[in-house]
Amino acid sequence: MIRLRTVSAAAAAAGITLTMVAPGAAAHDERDVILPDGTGTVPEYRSEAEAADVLIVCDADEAEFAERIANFPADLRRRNEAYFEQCQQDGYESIQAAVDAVTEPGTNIYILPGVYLEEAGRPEPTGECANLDRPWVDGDSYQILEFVDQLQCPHNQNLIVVLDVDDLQIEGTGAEPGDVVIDAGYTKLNGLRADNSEGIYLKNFTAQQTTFNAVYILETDGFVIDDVIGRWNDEYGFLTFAVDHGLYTDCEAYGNGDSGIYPGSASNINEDREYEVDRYSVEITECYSHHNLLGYSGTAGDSVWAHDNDFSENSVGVAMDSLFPDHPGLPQNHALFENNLIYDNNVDYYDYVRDGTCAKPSEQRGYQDGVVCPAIGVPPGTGLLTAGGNYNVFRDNFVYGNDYTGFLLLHPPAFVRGDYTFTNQWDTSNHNTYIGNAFGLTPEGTDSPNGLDVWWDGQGVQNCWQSDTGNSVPLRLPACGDEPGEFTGPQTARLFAEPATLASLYVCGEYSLGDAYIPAGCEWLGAEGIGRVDVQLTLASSVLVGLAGLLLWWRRLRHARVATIATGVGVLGLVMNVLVVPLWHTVLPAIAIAIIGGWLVVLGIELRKTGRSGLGWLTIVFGLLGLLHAIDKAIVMLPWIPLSPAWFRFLVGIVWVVWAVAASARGRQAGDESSAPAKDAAAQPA
Amino acid sequence: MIVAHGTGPGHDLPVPLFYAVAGGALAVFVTFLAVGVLWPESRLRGAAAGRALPGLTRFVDASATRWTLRLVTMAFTVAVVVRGSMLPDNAHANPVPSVVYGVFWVGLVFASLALGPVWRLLNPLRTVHATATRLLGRDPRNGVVPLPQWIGYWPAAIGLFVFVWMELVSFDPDSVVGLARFFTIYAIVHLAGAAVFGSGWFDRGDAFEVFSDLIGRLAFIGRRSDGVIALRGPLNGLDSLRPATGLVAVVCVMLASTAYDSVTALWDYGTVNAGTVGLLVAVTCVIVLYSFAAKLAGIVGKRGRTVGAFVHSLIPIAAGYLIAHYLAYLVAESQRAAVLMVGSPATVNEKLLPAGLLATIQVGAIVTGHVLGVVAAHDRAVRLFEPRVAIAGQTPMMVLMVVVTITGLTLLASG
Repeated sequence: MIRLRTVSAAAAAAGITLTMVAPGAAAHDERDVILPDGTGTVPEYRSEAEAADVLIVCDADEAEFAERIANFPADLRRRNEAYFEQCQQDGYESIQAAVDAVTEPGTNIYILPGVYLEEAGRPEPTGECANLDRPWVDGDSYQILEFVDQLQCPHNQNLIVVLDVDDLQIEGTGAEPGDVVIDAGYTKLNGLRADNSEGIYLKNFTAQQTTFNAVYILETDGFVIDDVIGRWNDEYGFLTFAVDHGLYTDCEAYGNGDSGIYPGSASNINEDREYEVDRYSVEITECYSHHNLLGYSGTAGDSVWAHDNDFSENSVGVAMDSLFPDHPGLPQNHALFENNLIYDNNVDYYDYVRDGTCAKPSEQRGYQDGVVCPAIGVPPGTGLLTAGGNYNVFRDNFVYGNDYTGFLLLHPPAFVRGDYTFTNQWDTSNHNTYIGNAFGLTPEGTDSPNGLDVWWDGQGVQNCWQSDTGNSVPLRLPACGDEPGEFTGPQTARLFAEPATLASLYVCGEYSLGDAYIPAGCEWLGAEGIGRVDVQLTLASSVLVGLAGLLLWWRRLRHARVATIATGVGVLGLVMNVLVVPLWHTVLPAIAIAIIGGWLVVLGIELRKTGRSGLGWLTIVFGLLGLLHAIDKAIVMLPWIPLSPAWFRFLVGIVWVVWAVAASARGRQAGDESSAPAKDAAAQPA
Repeated sequence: MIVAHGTGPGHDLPVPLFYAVAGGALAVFVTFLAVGVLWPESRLRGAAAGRALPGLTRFVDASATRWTLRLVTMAFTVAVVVRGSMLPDNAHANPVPSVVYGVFWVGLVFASLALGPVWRLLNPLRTVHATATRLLGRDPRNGVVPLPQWIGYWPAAIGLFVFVWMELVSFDPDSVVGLARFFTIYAIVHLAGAAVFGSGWFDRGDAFEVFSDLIGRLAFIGRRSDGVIALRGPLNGLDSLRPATGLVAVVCVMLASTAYDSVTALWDYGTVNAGTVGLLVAVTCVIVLYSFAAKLAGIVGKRGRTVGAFVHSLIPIAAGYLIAHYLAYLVAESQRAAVLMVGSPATVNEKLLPAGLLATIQVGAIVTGHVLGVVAAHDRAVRLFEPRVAIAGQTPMMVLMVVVTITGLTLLASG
């Protein structure tokens, strides 16, 4: 059984790097599927003359039809008039009726302009179909059906269904996709489902208003989605899953609660390769995906070649990930994104969750008026997000006007996707290449900066970025050469992101549309200033270190002038450390950390002078780790170490705080070997 | 059982789970540091502490009060047995499972927290024993032989383990026949124990009396060493507990049972045999972890025999988890017990407590339990250890408590 874009409760509880946690309401479970063997081909567009058979669908009276085609170009109008006349004789009133009438491969179905409600496919199942013995999921809202169930009960979940029909072409005959509309009215999961139907070619229509996918292509080798619109769905405009030899071209998707385009589990044909590949399993080109939560998403979107598309005005322009269990082909790998426009992805739809709009039934939410109900928690303002993927190449794209960050790369350990094999835990976010992209510039050359150009959590091996990257976190990124697999600087191999970053990711991962739950503390979802969990953690750690340091100074070193001056400076560093958290793309956090480190080194030296050798050395080490952390943040990410110095600071800091407090507290009770003031010693009980 | 234990989704919490877990761990850590600095000498006086309540003492100790309580409990027990035997062996129709688990077992936690070791006053086995010895003209306190020291709390530990095994592992914990069998054997064993060793057997051997006594240490009233009931803080109540053989095992069974229940909510062992091994492993793990931390504390603090010295600090932690684990269960099953006992057509409102309030109480109970545990352990450490190593000596216990806090809150929210 496949679970599409959901995540286990155990993983959520364990809570590491869950950036996108699908809520119950949005989870979609599917039967076990098998990736195609790759023997198919991308189907070619077939003219009427080339078709083995032609079937025509019309759904309007003559007057209404005449009105619909009145403004068509003359030759197209005449063609439609001829089709309409033919349809009156031997045509079909519903698309499903025509599909059911297909008898041979190579058939073309022409759908005449109109709105197709497909009434026959809408009713709730009855009889045996209402009592299939299959598991219920998502709050008992639908069942996991096998292929035989789809054959037996085609409309349990689908408005129109194409099952095991090869080389079928379904084409709208309007002047544009909006002239032929398939409308599910939120009665079914899928508007049009093509399942095990090799060579299906969809062209020139619109599918809309489903509780999952407008168009759903499953377990199919060879398909084309050409000039089709998918809009106003709870989840996806287009979902293609376990497919090969696929082509999306000239498509448009908007108003979808998850993503406009979702080539999930595209065939994993390059999993054994490194940077060089022979071919891609799905090509996406000339598509326009806008005003969705995600313009594109690709859980296990393997070997997808996306080029010359426009991903704009979504919350996140593009996202690919290895977060969700049971997707064939995980971890995601070998996507190539080039020459795309990825811009102005800044729309924040989470207010619709806050104000209760998304708690209404789908048909009452107002998708047509621009409402999108975010199925998952993501950072609005992001151009391209990779939450676990390998050997992806992002080159020559225009990435601009994304207020949070242009590119975002982070690491989910394998257990998040249900893989508990120890050696697989770090098998994502490696070997990704970002080269030749234009940051903060429109194709016309106008300035339109991103908030950051790059945010990387620091994890993974052989990830690299072009040397002209602007603002980034971390400040210094590993640099790429001219081609994927070439590097011009030191490479890092970190196991985890820094502690505060991990905490932020974890908190954001608790988002749930089903529970209308927007976690406090998540910067992505609206937390600001002291409300941000990373600021809070920095504050808490600074207060602890500050109090322990001050206590130590007061009890042990307040008569040492150097220690007193250093402690004053150190406290200022601690205050600065908290205040500059939001300025993470500048050198200021590193300066604050360096000041704290310097203070601790001085404190340690002074402690050693008082005879406290052990605590003195630990304080010096704690301080040196701070200086190292500052270098790592601001000057160069240190190679060869498995964790950021922040982790060592964190762990040593806990021991140091305990030791410092113990050393300070015991002075009131027992004799002390240090040169503590006589007043303190006198206060000690005999 | 009808209602699952635990909180269910973390989203019931008013704050993200991360805040509950990190905040809980931080609370324990900061408490440790704060008492390290601000609590340099032992302040607890254990059984000597408390403001005397002579009126309450007279009332509680009055023979009329005692026999009234005993007879009421006995009458209720008989009523449950009679009613249970008349109805089908089904938890939806028969009140026995709800009475046993919801009212008796879980209710005992809350009653003991509020009033102290109440089961000592209500225990029907004590009533039977007292009545029998009076009829024979003997002092109930005197048995055939005195209770040997080496037995300690071990009978209670075993009894508690068997009961939680029946609740959490056995094939059909709601079986009325199974429950009847358990309590019949239990009664025979403990009446025999009391006959041989006198009524002191119940103090150390009866699992439910020991359970109630240990939880009751956290009540704001308790009996001082001079026998007077007094108003006192829970920390003094804890401090009044003296180390004894088998005490660590009892407390660790209390802790391990909730941990086991939470873990098996995530990973179902499947078979009774595997579950039995799992429960044994859970108890062993808790004993080993605690003993290791306490032993290490002794090494750092340069003091021997510390394993028993800190066990009282685990009691508030166990109580915190029991509250967190069973609060929703108590609310639902006590209603069900009442409805089924009187045959009322009323329905049970399993969500009587709002989810947010419930989750807040649960997290609060766990964190409070750990904070109390840290303070209790600290006071014991500064009493036992040399001042210069007192804080370092209790560090292993603090680390254990932080780890248990994080694990416990995570498991609770996942259950």
